[in-house]
Amino acid sequence: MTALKKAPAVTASFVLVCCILGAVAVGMTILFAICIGPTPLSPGKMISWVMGQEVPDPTERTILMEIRLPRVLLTGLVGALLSVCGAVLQALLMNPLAEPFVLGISSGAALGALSSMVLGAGLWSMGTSTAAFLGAVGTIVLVLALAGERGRVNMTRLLLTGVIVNAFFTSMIMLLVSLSRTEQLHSVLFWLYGDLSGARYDQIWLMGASCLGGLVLFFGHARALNLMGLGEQVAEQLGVQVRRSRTLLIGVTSLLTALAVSSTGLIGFVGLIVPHLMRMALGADHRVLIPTSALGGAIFLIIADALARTIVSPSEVPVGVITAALGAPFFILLLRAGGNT
Amino acid sequence: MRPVVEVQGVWFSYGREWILKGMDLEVVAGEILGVVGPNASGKTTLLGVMQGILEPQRGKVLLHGQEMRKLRRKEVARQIAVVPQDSGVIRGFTVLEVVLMGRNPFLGPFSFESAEDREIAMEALVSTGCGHLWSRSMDKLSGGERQRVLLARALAQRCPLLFLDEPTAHLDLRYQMEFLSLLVALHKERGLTIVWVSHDLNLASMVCQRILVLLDGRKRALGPPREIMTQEIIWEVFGVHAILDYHPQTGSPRVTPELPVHRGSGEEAPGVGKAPESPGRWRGSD
Repeated sequence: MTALKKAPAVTASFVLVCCILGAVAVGMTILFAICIGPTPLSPGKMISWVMGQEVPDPTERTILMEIRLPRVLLTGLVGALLSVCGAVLQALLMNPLAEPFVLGISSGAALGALSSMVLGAGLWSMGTSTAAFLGAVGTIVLVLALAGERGRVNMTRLLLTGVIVNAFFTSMIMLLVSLSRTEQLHSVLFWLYGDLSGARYDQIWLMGASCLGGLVLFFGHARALNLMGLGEQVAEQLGVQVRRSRTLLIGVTSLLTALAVSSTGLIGFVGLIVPHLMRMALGADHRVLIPTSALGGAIFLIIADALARTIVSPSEVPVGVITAALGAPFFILLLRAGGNT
Repeated sequence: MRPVVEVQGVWFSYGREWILKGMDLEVVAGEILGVVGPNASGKTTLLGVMQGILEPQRGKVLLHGQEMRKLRRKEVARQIAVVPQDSGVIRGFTVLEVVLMGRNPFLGPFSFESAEDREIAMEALVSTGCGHLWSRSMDKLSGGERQRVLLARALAQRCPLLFLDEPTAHLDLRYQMEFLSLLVALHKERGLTIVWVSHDLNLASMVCQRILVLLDGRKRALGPPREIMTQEIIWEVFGVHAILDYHPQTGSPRVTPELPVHRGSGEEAPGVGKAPESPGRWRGSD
């Protein structure tokens, strides 16, 4: 695949055009996704509702406003968050395999969530998502503490520590799964592969605000990320305060990932492939990569979720199954077609 | 006049043994200072300390009289541009994008490079003979082309100080010479102060006004090429017997190492004594 980007250097107008096109694509994906489902709605009907030409049917209105729209919006935000965090971590860790879950955040969150599910939320009187968030944050602190040395964090060591902690927690998760009762097993497994069904508007506001804040911070560090991706020394030689930026960015990506995971469970692959796709198509400059990864992640996850809830309708497939099943072959195809990531 | 960079009693270690052992150095404005020495003598470490990316355990480094460790990286990067030793392949960026990174110290967090920044970058590319490469992808370049693009990036920083770490290591003879003449021209036209770490004594001798010879983390000698390039110093530092003469064009001292002869085997090493047509080897300054 040849790069869509023909310009020899990124400009503000190029970034703007990418963002506008991406936003239009996200809008169309949302429209498509809220139309499909067990009760089909047509885009034309919805437009006339919005224009006030037609009074919506109460049932259809409830399906749209209370079920589909919040779910699609939350899905989009989670997709955007995971994908943009993946893009940032790939640069920070200088590793193309990095993704939001690589530092053990996923298994930490899962351990928290499963503990509350299996051992009983009443035990600590907190919900699944709070437990997941605490688990995720606790894991990041643990990994950073184990990998750090006299206040400095070596990126290779951080990556390895994350992998090891992940392995340890995964075994703990299997222990909890094996201890869980049969009737719990379904919800436990669903959570492990991503569950978007319980979307609420208050979650959406929280996620939306965090997503926006994260994007502004990451975009402000875009040139620094370009340089840090080339190596610590090069970045320092060209004026980046590497240690400070790194600590800040790792902290924020971890918190955002914890937030995403705690509200929807583990959804893999988005944070790995979407940034790579964008890099193949548009180049490695983070001023393009950060906004387009967010938009692309939203589109990818909304489509995956639309498939997840329709292909075996009225039942549902966990969305993580779709992201991997859809993403892996697509990614391999692109890679073989000559991507240069 | 106050020296631009002052290294005062610097001791540096990566953790186990000392790499720099009480280094003192003053870089004078407008000079080309060569830093030579055997492998592991601390050349690159010294350069790192002088840029403030390595913090010495003892002693201090001053840039224009200000303590290096108190300066922000952007302030340093507006004063010192560095051409690194070997960057490896850079993926996902075009040549122009890489050179534009040299403008980073002058830009705020959300800003894009201006038309002026682009002009500066293109001018830097043209001056290093890479103007035609500007729209190429960085990972498609040869090692020599990459090295010249990195020099262009450093030039795009428009800094009064230029630090080079083995910049000619990947260049063939022609580009080595072009690189040297470019350095000399930049030095003359813009009055750049250049610190150049080199393996190649002869190249250093051709362009440097002063040469610092490092041995085991200490300063062994410092002075003009004619003073420090002696058989004694070369033997002591590199463990090589040298034949010294002068470059016919520039008059700078020139070292020709003697191939060690395996005594006792009865045979001379290959090549030794096989140059009867040469104009005659004559001993230099001794």
